[in-house]
Amino acid sequence: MKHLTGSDNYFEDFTPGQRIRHTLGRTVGPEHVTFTLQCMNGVPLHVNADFCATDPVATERFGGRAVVYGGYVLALVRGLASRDTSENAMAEPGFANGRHLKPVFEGDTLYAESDVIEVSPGHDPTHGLVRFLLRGINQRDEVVLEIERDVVVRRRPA
Amino acid sequence: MSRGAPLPERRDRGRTFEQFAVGQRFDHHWGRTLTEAESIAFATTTMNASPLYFNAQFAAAHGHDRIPVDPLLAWNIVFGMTVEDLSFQLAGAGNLGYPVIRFLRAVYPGDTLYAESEVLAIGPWKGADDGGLVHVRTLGRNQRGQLVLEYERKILVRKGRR
Repeated sequence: MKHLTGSDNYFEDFTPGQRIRHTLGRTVGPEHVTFTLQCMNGVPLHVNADFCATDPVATERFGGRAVVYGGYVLALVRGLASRDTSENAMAEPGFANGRHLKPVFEGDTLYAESDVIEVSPGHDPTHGLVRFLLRGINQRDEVVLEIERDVVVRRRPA
Repeated sequence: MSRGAPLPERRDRGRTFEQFAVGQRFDHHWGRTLTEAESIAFATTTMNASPLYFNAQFAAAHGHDRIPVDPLLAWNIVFGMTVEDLSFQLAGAGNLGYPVIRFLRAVYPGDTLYAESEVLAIGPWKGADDGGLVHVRTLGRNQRGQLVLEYERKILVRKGRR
């Protein structure tokens, strides 16, 4: 099945200090509300335009616009990074030190970057652990999200 | 335009900052069963390139009897069940960050997830007079009570306007 995934993203291909600017961008459309509600997240700041236009905090801090739910931003940015970082993943054990640095609004376009922080070969001959600093960036080149991400990546098959 | 008869206040949900205390626990509402269709849709709409999450044959070749649910979807589903209790009354930036998110056990379509939380710390937040910091740990469990994920979250919660 090795033809199903790339040949430049096995464990051996990652080196600490490497920075990858990922290929794809993704514009956030109204589907962000669908996803937020799929998660049964009814927070008015994400799904209620009337609230966003009239609530004092929402109008003062966010210009009266709905803010895209952060879990969706993380999912999109991780997805944008996945082709280069986790196509050959066995597992994704977790994240750490995540922060939303700027709000994301409908119509924004997201891009992603991954810095390789650490590679841990471990004892298993089939895979190793790679720690990335994953960054989400908007169309104005502002960093909207930063989070460390662990991925268990397969070694290149013999 | 008025509808005439006096209307009651719109019913309020969620907690303001004053209503949180260290050690407070929540068993969140609802529970949620995951399906294979939404799991594959999550992978494709977020452009996840790992076939583990949308190719059953590939998943089987890598140790899974069924296509596993992307752990990030499982996390979003658990997160969603917590918001009415924890973060309905956001102030400012609202979501200050996630110190740690750990995925502890695979989730498969058909599994039902539940959420519970504990308040670890509360305090002021720099530059936010209208809100305070609430630091929580949330656990996600499956229908067998097994822990599938845990995370910590820092929330900027609105203060009451009394």
